[in-house]
Order: sequence, then structure tokens, then C-alpha cells
Amino acid sequence: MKPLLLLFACLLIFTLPLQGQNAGTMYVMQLADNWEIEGQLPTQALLISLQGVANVGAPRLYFLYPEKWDFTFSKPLLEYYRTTREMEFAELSNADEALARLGGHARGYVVWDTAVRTSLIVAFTAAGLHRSIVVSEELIPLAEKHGLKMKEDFRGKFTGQTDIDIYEWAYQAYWEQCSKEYLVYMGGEWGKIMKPGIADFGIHHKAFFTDASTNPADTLEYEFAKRIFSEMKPMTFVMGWHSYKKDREAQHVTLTSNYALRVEGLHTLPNMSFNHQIPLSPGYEFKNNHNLEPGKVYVPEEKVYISCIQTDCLGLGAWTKPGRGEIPYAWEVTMNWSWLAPAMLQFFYDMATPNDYFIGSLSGPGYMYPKAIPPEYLPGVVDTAYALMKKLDLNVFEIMDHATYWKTDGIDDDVPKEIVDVYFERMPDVLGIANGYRPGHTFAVYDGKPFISYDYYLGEKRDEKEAVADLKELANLNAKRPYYLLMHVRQWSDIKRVKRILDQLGPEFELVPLDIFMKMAGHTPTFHTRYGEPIR
Amino acid sequence: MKGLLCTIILALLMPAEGLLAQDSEHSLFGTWQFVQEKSTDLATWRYRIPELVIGDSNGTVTIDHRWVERKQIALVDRYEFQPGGAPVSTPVTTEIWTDNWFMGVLAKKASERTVSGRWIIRGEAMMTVSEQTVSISQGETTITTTREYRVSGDGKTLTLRETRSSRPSSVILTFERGQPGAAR
Repeated sequence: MKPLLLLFACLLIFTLPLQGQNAGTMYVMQLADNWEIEGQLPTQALLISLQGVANVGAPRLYFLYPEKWDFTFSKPLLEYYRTTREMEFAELSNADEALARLGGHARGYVVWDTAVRTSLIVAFTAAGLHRSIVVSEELIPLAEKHGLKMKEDFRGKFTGQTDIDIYEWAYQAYWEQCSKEYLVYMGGEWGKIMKPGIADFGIHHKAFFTDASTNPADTLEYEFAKRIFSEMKPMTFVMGWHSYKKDREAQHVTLTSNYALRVEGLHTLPNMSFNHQIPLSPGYEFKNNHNLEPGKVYVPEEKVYISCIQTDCLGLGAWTKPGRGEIPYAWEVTMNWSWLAPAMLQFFYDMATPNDYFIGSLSGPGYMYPKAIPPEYLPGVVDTAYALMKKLDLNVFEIMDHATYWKTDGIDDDVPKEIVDVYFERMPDVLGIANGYRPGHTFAVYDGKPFISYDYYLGEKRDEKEAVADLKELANLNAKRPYYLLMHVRQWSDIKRVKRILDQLGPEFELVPLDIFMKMAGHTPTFHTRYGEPIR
Repeated sequence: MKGLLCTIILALLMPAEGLLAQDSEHSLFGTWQFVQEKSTDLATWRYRIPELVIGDSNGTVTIDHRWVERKQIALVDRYEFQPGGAPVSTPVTTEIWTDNWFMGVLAKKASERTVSGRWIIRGEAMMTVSEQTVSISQGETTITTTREYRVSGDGKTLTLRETRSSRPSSVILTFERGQPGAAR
């Protein structure tokens, strides 16, 4: 009997780590750079769904995303975790090994149909509710090899059905059990490709997944989107991103804002089920790189003052590219990361150079369009955003509103006075508010604090010589001095390129940090007061 | 009687001259498709592709700057004038300032734009001058734009040199003769 017990004990010792029951072990794995249904997507989807269930209760699985991934920080963030949190990661080399180590956290598998792309979106929903992984037919043997049993089988189930049919079915089957605080839009790329970076977080939180169109012309999907938005709790989250095929960003954010929902992009945001669980360092407080000297009055000279803001979320594009720190630069902070992924946001703050100045965004505590938010929610939206700004030591805020922009052929991104009033009333300590994406046309001053729109959009493909000519032309058109030229830099432009352009502008131009820019613009405004049309 | 005869002859000749010019292989008249790789980098409104349609009728030249999006004409900006004649005023009906989408400049709606033009080489090269009020962050200002349209010796290429009073360098656009709506 004793040898039998010994054998059993040995088996237990060797089996436990393989079943992933060792909560102290963390794993890292490099994901391939192939997201095609006929290529690596089935394996990638399996892995990301495994991440969603394996990270329940503790952070266990982290992925290194390919170099071309939208968010470029998965590798440096891992190094940051290793060095600042003394985390140790065992490396996994393939799905088989990942299932061997962590498959024990899954209760089963959901089969999606590679012939019906939308079945994968529904499978993510089912996976969250069943605490399961998603597999294509080819991967069933692998799942079963690791002891997992089938929970749902979508093979052939949705053949010939439209997306709205499929989503209506999913609504009936799952909606009631799903989170009403997180909804995942598994949009972005379409057709043969899907990049479900955020799926782990959605599975982790039992979110409903969809990419239902928010284009009013797509009447059935639009009504479906409205219905699920209306059944979410106000001020909660629509994670992910809209489908590049079905609708426009402006339509999507307009509709979510209509229900006071906060968009937190993108569909490719990686490792959130892991990052969500890594706290700030003990006693850590977020500190911005302020440039204003207390008590000093900033009086502008007769110059063209230019200031740069990179929008489109921290960690997309330029942050990890060459040149950061060489010139004063302002960065939109994705403020909800302060609680959605605290250590990840600390990583950005810790990496920041004295020239990296953070600002709050975007229109609210998340991406929202104030003109589309029901008026009764706007004060709460602004208050929540302001509380996050305080926590993150931010004193410049940024608004973008394309609720009517897409209906006016790209003209109207302006904000009416009644809305600007609310922001300034409820954000008493801001230095100023920036507005727009492409150039906006709302300008005002409230008690020495400017509301100032972008006057230039630096596209990532804009020829550098022409960009220089654009900026000089703006300075010629706006002949009064000082002239305040606020520039939005598209995130894919690295700072070396921006610097090359600015270096050609001549001595009349002066690049200044955004907080100083705001102070001067509020002190000696030369822009013409202008608001958007009142909301009827 | 002699005067009446002259008037009739002139009246008959004028459209004929126009027709001749339109039929010529070296004529400025016709439809012109944009050639991006031989042009200054543009920041067109919503990334639309320019297309030119130049015609005349009874001595009045019309230059349609068309902006094509997904093979559909999204916007037509028309310049109409008599070469050598007095400037013509036309009301501005849209705030879209087609010249550059990346700059904080809008056309001033309900203002008037004046346009005049003259032949440099009859039928082959033309110059226009337009004045337009625009809205900018500091209020309003006027931009004077000189455009020179010139057909190449082989009649296949049209070069448009656009010089704005506010811009330090000219914008040079190259077009090839083509069919309407064929913009790539």
C-alpha cells in the first residue's frame, strides 16, 4: 500500500504544475504575427481565450505581441514588470505547452466555425460564461488531449445566417448572464483577419462580444446596438473597437455616448486580464512633468507659439519610437488605465522624460462625444474625468467631438458654449482645454484659461516640406502675434520626424510645453472667440 | 448692314473657336485625371482625389475642380469667367476649404469669391486669379490664389501651378487627359 501511496504522491507533484495549479508561476509567450482565419488565428484565439481564463484570480499568462501590433509596449512592459516587480516568467513556446501548464484553469472548450467569422465573436462570449477556451475544429484534439470537454459547438450552427441573426441568437442565449459593465466590440479588421487582443479581458469579465454596426443605415444591427447599449449600466465600458467594415468611429462613439457609455479602445489592447491585476508600487503617486514655475506670470512675446499633442492613446505608435524626450511633447493619457491597468500606466509615468507632459482625455473618463451625451449625464461625466485627472496629476484636458463631424462632411467638430461652460465650471483647476482631432474651430477664454482647438493636424504621411509650408502658411494667415498654433500629431509620426519639421520653421516660431502654451494663450489670447452651434 | 453682318460673323465664329479649341489634341479643354506621383503632396479634404474638367461656352470658360471619393464626385468647385474680362463674383456655399484639410482654415460661408482669368496661350495655357475670404483662428482673412493651367507639348499632360498669397511655396499638380470620374 505504501509504495502505491508514494507513487500517487509523486504523480501529484509532477502533475500539479502541468495543470497550472501553481498560482505563483507566471508564463510569457510570444505570439505569431499572423491573424488570418486560414492561418494562425485559430491558435491565437485559443491562446488569448486561455489567457482570459488562466488569469482569473491571479495574473498568470502574458503575451509578447508582434512588433507590428498597434500597441507597441508589450515587450518593454514585461521588462518593467521583471525589474520593478521582480516578476519571473517561465517561457512557453506553443499552444500545447500553454495548455499543459495552464489548461487546468479552463472548464472546457467552445468550438467556433472557421467558415463563419462571426461565430468566433460569439464563441468569445460563450467562453467567458463557460470559463472555457475557444477552438476551431482542427484544435479540438489538442483541447481534449489536455482533458477539456466541449461546452458548445458552433460548427454549422450559423451557416448562411447574417450577423444580426447570429447576434440575436447570442443575445437570447447569453445576454442575461453577461456583464452589464463591460461590453466588447470585437471590431477593427474584418474579412479573413481578426486581431482579438482585448478578448482575454472580455472573457475574464464575462462580457458580451459583438461588432454590430452603429451606422444608422444598417437598421437591424443599429437597433441591436442601441438595445444592448441601453441595457448596459450608464457610465460603464464599451471595450474594443468598431468594425472598420461596418461603420465609422464617429458613428460608434456617437451612439455609445448617447447612452453615456465610455469607449476604451482598441480591439488590440493587449494583456489586459494580466495588467488589470498588477497594482501600483506601494505608496506610488502619479506625478506629471509640469513646466510652470509657481508665481511666475507668462507673458508671451510677438512670436508664433507652437505646442504638440500626440493623441490616439498612450502606447500607440511614437512612445517607444526614437526621439521621445528631445522636444517638449504632450501625450494623451488613457485615464482609465489608472485603475484598469495601474502598473501599466505607472510604467509610462516612470518612463517619461521631463519633456513628456501628460494630459487628460478624451472628452470624459474614456472616449466620449459631449454633444452626444444626454445632458443629465454630462456633469457626472466631467466630474469623473476630473477626479481621474486629479489622481493622475493632470491639469490640461482634451475634448474631441465628432458627433456631427461625419454628418457635415468633416467640418463641424466644434463644441457649443453650453458644453464648454460645463467643463470649465466642473474642472476649476485646469490650465486650459484642447479641442479637436483634425483642426477645430472653437476658441474661447474662461477666466484666463483657454479653450483652444487644434490649428494643424500632422498626418503621418504628410510630406515634411509641405508640412513646413502648411505651418508657415498658417502663421501668415494668422498675422497677429502672438499666434498660438496647437498641433495634433498623429500617433504614427515619431518625434524625430516632428523635430525635423519644427527645425525648419525659423526663429519666429517657438516650440513650448503645453502648460506654458496654455498659460500664455489664456494671458494674451489672440484667437477669435467662436463656439459650435447650440444643441437643439 | 455691314455692322450687322460683322456681328453675325462674330457670333458664328465665337462658338466655332471654342469648339475648335475643345477638339484640339493640345487643348486645355477636356477632363483631366490627377497623377499623384508627379504632384506636390496634397492634404485634400477627406483624402479626396482631384479631377479637372475644363470647358467653354460662348467665350465663358468653366473650370470644375472636382473632388472624387470612391469614384463618386463628392464636391465640385467651379470657376467661371470670361478670359480677359472683369472679375466674376460667386457666392460661397460651403465652409469646405478644399485646398488643405490639415490646416485650421474654413471657407467663409455666404461670402463672395471673385475669379478672373486670361489666356497665356490661347487654348493651351491659362491663368486665373481668385480672391476668397476664409475663417481662421484669429478671425477672417483673404487669400489670393493664382493658378496657371498649362498643357504639355504633346497635349497629354496638364500642369497646374497653384500659388497662394499666404503660402511660401507653390503647389504643383499634374494631370493626364482622361474620362470623367476615372480618378484612381
